[in-house]
Amino acid sequence: MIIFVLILLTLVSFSVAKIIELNFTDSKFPNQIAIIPIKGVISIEGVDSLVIDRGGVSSSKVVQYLENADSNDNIKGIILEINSPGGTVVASEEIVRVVKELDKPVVAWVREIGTSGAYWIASAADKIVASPMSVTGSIGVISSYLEFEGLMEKYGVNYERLVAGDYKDTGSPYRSLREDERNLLQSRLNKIYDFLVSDIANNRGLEEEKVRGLANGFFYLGREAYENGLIDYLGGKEVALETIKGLANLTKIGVTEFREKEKWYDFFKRISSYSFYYLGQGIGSSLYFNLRDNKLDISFR
Amino acid sequence: MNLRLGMTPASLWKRVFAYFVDLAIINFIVILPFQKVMQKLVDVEIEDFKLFQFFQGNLETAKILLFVSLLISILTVLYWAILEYKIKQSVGKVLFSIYVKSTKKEDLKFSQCLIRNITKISLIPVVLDSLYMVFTKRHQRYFERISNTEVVSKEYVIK
Repeated sequence: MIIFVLILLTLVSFSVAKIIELNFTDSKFPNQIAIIPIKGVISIEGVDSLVIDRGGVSSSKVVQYLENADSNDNIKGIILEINSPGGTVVASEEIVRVVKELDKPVVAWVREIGTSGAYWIASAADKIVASPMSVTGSIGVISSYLEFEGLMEKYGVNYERLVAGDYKDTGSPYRSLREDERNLLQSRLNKIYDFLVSDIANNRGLEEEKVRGLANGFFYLGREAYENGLIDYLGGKEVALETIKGLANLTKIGVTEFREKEKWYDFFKRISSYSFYYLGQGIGSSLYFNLRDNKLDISFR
Repeated sequence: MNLRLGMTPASLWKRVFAYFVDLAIINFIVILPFQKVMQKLVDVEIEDFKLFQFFQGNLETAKILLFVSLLISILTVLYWAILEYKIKQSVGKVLFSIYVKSTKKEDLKFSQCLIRNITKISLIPVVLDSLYMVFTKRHQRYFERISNTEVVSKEYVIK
């Protein structure tokens, strides 16, 4: 009796499972649209620290999500949810390259901010959607840094320069730039800038001269970007979804959001990060109030 | 001293281990067949605790998964109900020599077996139902009291 019941239940389970698999999966299943987030400063590894939690994004992770979405037959289109001020050149370029290589339609949906490297990524998508008040553009390259030669001089601190290779310490914060060094660095920045402008012009189907005119480093509000051709549509998530449906030729879609799986220790990392932040804030406040009450004299003489 | 074969309430540990054995069997004969179809229905990466958001964006999938879950629950209950009705034992109970019997002076009915096992559709109901055992002398779950059944083991008792 036991064997009979077990066999019967097993047969029923397998039969019903097979019927469901044949009738309710694959072709009958609504097509998926993947929403992949790009939030925070873009860098190769992202920010993963016990002390600092700046909320950056790793280009390696984004590339992995894009490749997963591209290889999944149920996913018919991709929306890049962008809320980023940009990031490093290489990290941004990695994502741009993969977005261009995707076989599926891609819509970039800019939320609060999508500037610099983040706008470069958005330009690689088939269409860009942004809110009228989104901050976008800021097409340019920056490599500024603080230089302390004057400050060190005032306190009698010397910089002992020991190099083999005259440009080895170019960009050191401990001495000022020579004219030839400045020209060298500037020429490198110009090359990156030219590449960026050319690629964005190519991505957006705009004249390079026009993009160069817009690429003065300043940001544009969504409405301004729409008027000068840097984005395609004004709107939010609904507009992005309608756009991707149109590009993918779909009437009915399901949405899958790709997210970083929070590990068990991420809670403690957050607590630690907040603790260090408030510790710093506390020290800063203490210094401020001491200064205000003339108990601590910090001055530059 | 005369000994006779009597029925005493089955010990808690026997019942718990018998339950785990039955769970392992159910996992193999009921849940495993549905694993492939579940994977096909939810074949994208979903972060922990984000299932609700996934279902919000995929109502069709949610309906089908609900149906599959219901089916698994029904087959799970039927496993216990049919075996206990027919042979007064499930596979786990056979291993630990414990039996289901009616507390009334009549044969066990199928409806009794269904009612006593209805909480096994899911983990939380069965845990809550089982907590009641701690407070009863005869180690009955709440739904065993409702269905007028109990789990006993045959032991020799002094007459």
